[in-house]
Amino acid sequence: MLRNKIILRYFIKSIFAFIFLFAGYTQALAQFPSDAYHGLRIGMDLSRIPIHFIKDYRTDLNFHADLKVDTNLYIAAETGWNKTELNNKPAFSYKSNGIFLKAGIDYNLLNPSFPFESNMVFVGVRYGIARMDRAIPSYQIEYPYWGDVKGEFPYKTITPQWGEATLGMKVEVFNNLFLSWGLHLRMLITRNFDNGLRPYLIPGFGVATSNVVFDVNYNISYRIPLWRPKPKPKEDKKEKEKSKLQKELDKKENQQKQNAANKKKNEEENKAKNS
Amino acid sequence: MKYFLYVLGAFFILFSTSCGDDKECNSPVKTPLGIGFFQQINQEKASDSMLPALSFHPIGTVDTSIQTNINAIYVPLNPHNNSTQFYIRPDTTLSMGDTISISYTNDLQFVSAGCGFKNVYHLDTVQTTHHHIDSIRIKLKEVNVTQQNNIEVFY
Repeated sequence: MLRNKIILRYFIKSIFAFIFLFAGYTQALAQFPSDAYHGLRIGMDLSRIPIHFIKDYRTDLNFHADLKVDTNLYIAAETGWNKTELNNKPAFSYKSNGIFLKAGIDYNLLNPSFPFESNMVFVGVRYGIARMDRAIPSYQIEYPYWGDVKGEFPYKTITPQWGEATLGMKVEVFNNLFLSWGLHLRMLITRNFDNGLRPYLIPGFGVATSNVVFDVNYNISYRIPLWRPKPKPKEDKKEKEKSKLQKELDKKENQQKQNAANKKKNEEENKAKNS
Repeated sequence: MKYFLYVLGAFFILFSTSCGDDKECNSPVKTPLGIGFFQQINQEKASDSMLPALSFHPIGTVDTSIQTNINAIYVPLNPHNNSTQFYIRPDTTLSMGDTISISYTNDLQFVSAGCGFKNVYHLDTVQTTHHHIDSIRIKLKEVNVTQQNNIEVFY
């Protein structure tokens, strides 16, 4: 019931975000001089800053980069760090510290409104892996009659892995400067944790109390303009067909000429033999 | 800059209501054993038995509980052992009671950051003396937060 409430809350927030950000996008249809350049886009997730103030037990730093490799295809990578110190004593305290790496691709769904448009609406997939140390310094279960159960789990290094689907939008707000948001659906691949005790929060994945989590992020990024792509020569389809037809005609003509020459040669040879 | 205000608005909407329940416990964590009391009418039929003044005492503790007019009790199993014994008298006016012995295994399960862990038990065997109790059986092996009868006691 509580989980459904949380999912509903996130869903409503995402709808609002989509409406606002789409409105924002429609205002950003402007071409910048740098749009003719391609380059590495690097940035950071701004949404992790307020999360640290709202949920003071977690500190996250997330960075990302992407690079255009084809008309609509980008390779993307993310990395970051998370530190969690949760203290709900006496019931539960938890500590973890770790890094993550994600790699994948993004595909731009947006038809460009003007040449070299850099804004994009994208879908993407990622593979993620984290390396983290986690410990439960203390826990306690209250028991009448028998006395409370108290225990602890020492630090242990784990490397959880997950897959991720993403949908988002990137808008160029100034020359080479982008604001973007993304919705992320993550599914944990590693599910068998030692002693049945899964980590509470996985860097790059989020709160791991369930195998599937939903997340929203909000990024700022800067594109380092590195090169100007060569414009692809546009060949008219009719012209292409015409030249193909011409080539075939030329080929036929050559063949006919060759045949005529051979025939003439044969006739001359025959005449020479007869005489 | 109008679009920039839009995205800032979205930013605040996203995070203004994102306080979680990481520090509060909103889930049950107590996993008591449910014992239901029944009157055997014949070999096929049994009905709930309302015990007038049940005296209940977990062996190894100093606590004794007396409850009136009840047909079920919910008691914690010993989390430090794999077996627990209870001394039960169906009526305080009776001089003798019965001892019920329960053996089980114990799993530690994470509930939430606010609640911590809970112990979930899996019952293996149950035995009793027969001063007043006719028979006893396991109805539900998993002892969890559901507050259901795990054991049925027939008088």
